[in-house]
Amino acid sequence: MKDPRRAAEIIADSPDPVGEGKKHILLARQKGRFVKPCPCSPGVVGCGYMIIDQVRGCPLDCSYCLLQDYLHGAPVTVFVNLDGLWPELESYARRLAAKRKPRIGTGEFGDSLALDPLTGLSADFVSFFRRQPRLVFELKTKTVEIDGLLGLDPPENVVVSWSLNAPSVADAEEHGAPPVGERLRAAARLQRRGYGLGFHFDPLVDFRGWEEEYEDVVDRLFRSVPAGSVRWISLGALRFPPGVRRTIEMRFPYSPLPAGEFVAGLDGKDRYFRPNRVRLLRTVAGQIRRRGGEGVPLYLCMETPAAWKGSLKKIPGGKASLERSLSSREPES
Amino acid sequence: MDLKALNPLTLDLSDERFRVSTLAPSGRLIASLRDIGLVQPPVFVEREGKPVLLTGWKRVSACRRLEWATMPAWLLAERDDLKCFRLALFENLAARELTLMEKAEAASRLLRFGETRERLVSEYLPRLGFARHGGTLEILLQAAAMEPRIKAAAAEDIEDLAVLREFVFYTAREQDVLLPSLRPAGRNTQRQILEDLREASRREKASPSEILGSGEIRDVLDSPRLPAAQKIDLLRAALRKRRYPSYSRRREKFENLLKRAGWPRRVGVESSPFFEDDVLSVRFRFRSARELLGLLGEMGRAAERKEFSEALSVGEAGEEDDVSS
Repeated sequence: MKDPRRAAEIIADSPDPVGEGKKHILLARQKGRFVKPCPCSPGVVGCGYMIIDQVRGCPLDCSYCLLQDYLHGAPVTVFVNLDGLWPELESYARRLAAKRKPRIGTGEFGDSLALDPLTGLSADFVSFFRRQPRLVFELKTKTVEIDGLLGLDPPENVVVSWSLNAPSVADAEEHGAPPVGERLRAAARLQRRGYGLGFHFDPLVDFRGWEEEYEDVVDRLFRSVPAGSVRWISLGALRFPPGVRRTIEMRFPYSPLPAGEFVAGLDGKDRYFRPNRVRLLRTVAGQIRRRGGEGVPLYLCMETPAAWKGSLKKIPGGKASLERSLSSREPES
Repeated sequence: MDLKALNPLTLDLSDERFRVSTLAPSGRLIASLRDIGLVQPPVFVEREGKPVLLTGWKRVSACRRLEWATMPAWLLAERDDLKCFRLALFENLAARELTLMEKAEAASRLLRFGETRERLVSEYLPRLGFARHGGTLEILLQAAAMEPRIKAAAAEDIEDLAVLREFVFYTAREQDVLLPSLRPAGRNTQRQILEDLREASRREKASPSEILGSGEIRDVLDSPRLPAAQKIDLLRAALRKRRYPSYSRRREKFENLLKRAGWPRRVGVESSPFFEDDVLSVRFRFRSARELLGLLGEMGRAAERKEFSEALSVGEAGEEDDVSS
């Protein structure tokens, strides 16, 4: 379909605009900046992550995804004016990389590899970041679309990371994503090619049997890849901006995710009550440490200092300190 | 339009296709008609050979109360119901603000007369005082589809869109049970009650009816002796506990520990909302340095007790909470 207005009409008239939007790809020009700080909440411990706003939206349909409300049923949008992207990244690298070793990735407003069979952009990104060793680039995905990466010689500063979850959560809520086992197999293939890996246990979900299921996934992770190849693991408990829970109820009426003792967090997001949330985070962190990940940098995504203290027994000494520990895999100071 | 003389006492007003208001004529209107006469005649259209009232329901009702045998009335020669309704709606909007339920009714009629949802959102919602949002339209349409009896009661008790958004979520039976409790409450309290009930229902996987019919909540709702204000407070507290069981247990523990530590009752202590962080704040008043020193002394003695330390760590994770939903 060549007329974006026609696609917009189809999406708006659909009983499920969000779902309909995922069936359309819009090629557009990014008129703003490509490189932006990750949209962190106020009052939480930030990690200094930067994002590349080059793809918005995702063909996967995870019931808990915040983009359902954030993008309001827009089509999956790929910004094609890459002649603007590379100079902006180079400028960013020149300005900041002397002082920091920032992490930067493409998986914030979409999945970094879901569209790679169509765009082939992962190879372009790898080629670009090979020339920018002071930046650490992350491709974050739930898919197994790694063919574009397998044939490349991986630079040390490129990390491919997977979002993982309890298998019952992944099966029921991560629509369109391959099972967790397949994601781990894809990670293992890339690790054997020499890529650094990352993993994101986000969102951690509270349900009957969570402890056993997450322990099993952690166990499989460290049997799939050596701990030394894992650059970082992040943990984050299920959370929603206000309104997203209603969207989930409307689009996924059988999902149990919106049920739960959610309270308003300091940032206004609906979060599990803190003691329950900290117990979730602390338990999975402990499982990671015990099952092979003692030396792997662990961090919490969008969490308060109190939650850090309760779950990891420490609060980072500032955004810069946390960023350094993740970028260089140095012990946290 | 032709000006006619009609007998209000014999008019058949059963065709209410254009009616959105159920408000009765005010004493002021009746007195004005009696003193001055009918300055602005109501407007009728002809349908199936009979006059159907388009605008001026309160005026016609006032003429009937005054037992007038004749009143002037405009007869509009317009066959299109949508055009007629638009005329009536805009005449009303020029004269006064519609109530929330009247706006809901207006949205529903416009749709019934053939207006599109897109135009309802883009053109009519702003004129009714709402933002152009499809979700708002859906709330209004759901409200208009409620049972007539409930709509009539809600017309007086619910004036806030946020409250209405919560209210339409419930079944007719639940709305029936809820309305008497909502009636005396302010809009924020109304919204809180409805939201807490919905969340508790979702969390416990029980219907709102089951929650309203159980234990402490049923006792409060069924109690004939409780004054309305106290009923609302007790209902709110009971629903909060069902919505936030872990938090409620911790909150209770926090308050008991402070009491056991001998914390002075005149000094208010507040944790951060839902114990999201470890910050506490105190609030107290004093009139003299001596009084201040006295209070500080009491606080200091309480702070040395182990119950006080335990109270400070109430927001931390323990083993006693059942994490699983």
